[in-house]
Amino acid sequence: VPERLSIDRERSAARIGEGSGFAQMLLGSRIVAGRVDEEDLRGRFRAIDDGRSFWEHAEAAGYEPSRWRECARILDDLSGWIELHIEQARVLQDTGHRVGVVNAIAGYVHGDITIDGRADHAGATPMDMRSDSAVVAAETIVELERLARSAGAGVVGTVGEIEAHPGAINVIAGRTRISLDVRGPDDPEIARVVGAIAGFAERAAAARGQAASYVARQSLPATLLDPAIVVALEAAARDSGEPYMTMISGAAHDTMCVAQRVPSAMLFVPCRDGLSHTPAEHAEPADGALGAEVMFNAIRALV
Amino acid sequence: MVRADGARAVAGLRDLGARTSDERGAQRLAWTSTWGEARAWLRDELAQIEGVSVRVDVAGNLWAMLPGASSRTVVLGGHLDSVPNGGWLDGALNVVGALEVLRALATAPQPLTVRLVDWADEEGARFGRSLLGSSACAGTLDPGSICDLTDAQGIRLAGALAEWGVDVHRMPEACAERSDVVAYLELHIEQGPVLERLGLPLGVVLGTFGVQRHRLWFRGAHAHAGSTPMDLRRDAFLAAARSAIAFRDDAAGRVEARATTGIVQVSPGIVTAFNGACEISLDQRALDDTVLREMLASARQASERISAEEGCTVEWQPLLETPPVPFDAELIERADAVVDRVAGSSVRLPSGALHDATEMARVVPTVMLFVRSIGGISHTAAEDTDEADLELSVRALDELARDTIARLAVR
Repeated sequence: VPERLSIDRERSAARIGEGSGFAQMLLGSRIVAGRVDEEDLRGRFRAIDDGRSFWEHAEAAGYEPSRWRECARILDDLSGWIELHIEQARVLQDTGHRVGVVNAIAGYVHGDITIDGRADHAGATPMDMRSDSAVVAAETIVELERLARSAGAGVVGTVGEIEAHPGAINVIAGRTRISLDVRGPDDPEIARVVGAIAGFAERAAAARGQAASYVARQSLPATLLDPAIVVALEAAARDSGEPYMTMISGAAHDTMCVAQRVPSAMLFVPCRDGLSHTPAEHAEPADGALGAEVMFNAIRALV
Repeated sequence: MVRADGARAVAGLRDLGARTSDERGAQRLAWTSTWGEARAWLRDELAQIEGVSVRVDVAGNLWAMLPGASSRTVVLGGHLDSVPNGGWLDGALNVVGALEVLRALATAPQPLTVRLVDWADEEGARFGRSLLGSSACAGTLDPGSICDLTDAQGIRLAGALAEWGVDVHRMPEACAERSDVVAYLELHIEQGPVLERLGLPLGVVLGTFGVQRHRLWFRGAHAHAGSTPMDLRRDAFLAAARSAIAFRDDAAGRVEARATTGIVQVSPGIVTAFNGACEISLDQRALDDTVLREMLASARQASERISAEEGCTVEWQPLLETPPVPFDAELIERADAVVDRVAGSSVRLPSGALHDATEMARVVPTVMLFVRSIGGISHTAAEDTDEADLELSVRALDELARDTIARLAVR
């Protein structure tokens, strides 16, 4: 246990949390947690803008990527980890809570469903002679919402991407691809929802004489956070006299990687209208200070 | 009585195709030298028919006239122009079929005058304005709206047509061509799957669909796919998907109606966020104007109800609105009887695509015959129809022309 616990140290920003430059989420904390291999860094992870590898970019910026395994040591001396973060959603704001104690971070499965129908003329083809892949995609989107709403607590499902081909106003879409993002605190429940939506798409496609196929992309298991730290945070939040709640994080955070090695938890403070990843992102300084206070008092109680 | 020779029509189509196509398909783009070669071929064929005279009108339409006892005229129409890399039958079947009917009719005196017309620029593939020659004849062409159209090379329509002796501003004078016309008949490949699915070679066209085309903007608010619970979302894409299904279900529950959403675009369009904005297209078609209006009203209502349920708004932008054009009821009856006789069985079906007959139907009694398309494919080199069906379709056009002439001659 370190002698002095400074807020700055515990909040040490991981190098790449957002995953935009290399299309890899949580890259810095995954390196620290040993969740990558050297081939990823040397070849597979490439910058979106210029296609150069992470390795080349790190060297150009004056770092020594060949020593990447040594990063893991920065976790060696830690007996606990707490990450304070804005919520990036509206749950705290809408429920009137000023602090959220995070006891689990949702795992996620990313994938694609591609539906193959037939591109025919919009005027010449009667409704009952069509193989419209966009209709199956639309049905699948609506079904995913139903599945997520009726699934276990904290499960969410999203279709963020769609490509309908050929994409002309007077042509029936012959092929449509949609992305899937399914998250939740319970991995078997996520797998069940993904299996259910893939099965639904196949049946909905077959019912219209089409074929649908699911292909997995990236996935990360759910992370249950350390009960002792969670209890300490809840106690400190209660002692603050301000309204708080215990919740899961739907978004992925660096803590997911750190928690593989170190007992960890997270604390959320509200952000205005849940807005994040835009210049309109804003949290009240007083809420930030309250979060720091709760964290500090929890750490004092733990050590 | 000499009947139109279907086999000769097929041979003529093969000959025309060989002269005006390459390995990618037919290249009879209007106002190009290849189109000119197609017309030269047609003129050579017409020159072999005794008593037939040929001229080109102010709109660039080519007319062949077989004078009869009366100046009242039955017109058989088609178009030799094709899309780039097009098929061998679209438009050309109508012209070559009519050519063989004219050749047969010319062997005996006719009570009415018969004319064949090769409409100029049906496809609009070069300048983007389709039904050019037929709309000039029907009186629906506004020269001011087309002179400044340009092709891919930046050449202006007015300049290109001037090279073919057509003064854009005088094109509406082509209305004079229809002064004595009492019926307009057109044979065409179906370009769709209906006849093939029904197992029938020929059908009678009820008219061309009216079209309502709109662009719809659904707006909610995008946010993180992980951190936002399902019940706090304003997912514009979900509102659009539910609406598109409602549009489709509405059309599927009606007779002879279509609804298609062919374009969908989402923003931000990334896997880890639900979408705050979604744009979709809606293309609705129906043969009955009241039905088409009902469909539009029902779609608007559904999109607004669903948007409200999803915490979103929806905005409609009209893109295109054309009313349905039904064909002549009496000609439909007669054509149905002819097809029944020639093919053993007939069916009446709407046309999804626009045709020159759509323009003519506005001003003279009109009907079309469809012959089945293999796989419903058109506008590509793969466009095809069995030769036996083609021969049958020319026979049906021949009988319909004779039936129409005989019927109208006694009025």
